[in-house]
Amino acid sequence: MKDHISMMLGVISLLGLLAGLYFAFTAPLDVNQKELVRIYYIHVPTAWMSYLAYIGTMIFSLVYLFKRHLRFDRLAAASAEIGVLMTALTLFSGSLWARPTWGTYWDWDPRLTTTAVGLLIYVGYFIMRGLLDDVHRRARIAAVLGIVGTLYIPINYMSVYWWRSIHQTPTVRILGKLHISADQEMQIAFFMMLAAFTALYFYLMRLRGIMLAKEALILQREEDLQLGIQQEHSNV
Amino acid sequence: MYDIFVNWVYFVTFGSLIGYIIWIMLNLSQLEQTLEQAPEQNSAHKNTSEKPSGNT
Repeated sequence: MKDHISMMLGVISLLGLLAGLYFAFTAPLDVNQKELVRIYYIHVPTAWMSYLAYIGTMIFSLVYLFKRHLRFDRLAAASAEIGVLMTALTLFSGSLWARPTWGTYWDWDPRLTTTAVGLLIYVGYFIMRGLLDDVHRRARIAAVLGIVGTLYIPINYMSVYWWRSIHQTPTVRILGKLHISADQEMQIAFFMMLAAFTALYFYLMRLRGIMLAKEALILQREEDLQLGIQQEHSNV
Repeated sequence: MYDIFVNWVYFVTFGSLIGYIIWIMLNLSQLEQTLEQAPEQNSAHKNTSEKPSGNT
């Protein structure tokens, strides 16, 4: 790829992930969970990245509603797609982590349930996009859904405080006074992975944005070609 | 005890991410080829339909 920004983001993400993997596999084991604690270093960053992606969808949706330019609708969809992938990976790693620690793959715990509902909201977002042919109508409805859907984030985050159940409260508490209940070496692994996944989000957004722009350009050319053929026929 | 299990969770997670990036890359190169093959036509129309035509 000749695009320098993509290249730079790709290199930062790759180096960050490699460093994160190194720290994740050299960090000390948890007293109770032993090796299983290593799942934490990918489970939380994927969840964080899904939050980031849905916030991205909300921002691009808002910009679309103000500017009414399809470029922002495409970016909102790209961000939602990354969010869906990350939510699926969060549920995957979480349910596998739950089996040896909780004794079950799934529990209708508020955190798990709201995460599953969030996934369904954004899968619905794509089903809705697939059902509408009018691009501007589709973009408007998707923008509203993309903004309303973001309500999922505070509800999902606060669910472990509001309805205490089987899922633990955050290891890194950001509300009120910052509190991190983890060993320093564990923190390095965790924050390294968190930073790497953040860079990865911007890298994936960049690639997906370029891809969608190219798709739109090809579609536009095809439409122009059709228009030209129709004009030729009408002239004859 | 759970070493292989944890490695497998990492493998699937990173495998999915790598797979997603490969899918994007393949699509990008395919789209670039399509754009190179078809010369730009009616560039005047290019941006007009990006914005809604009516008072929507």
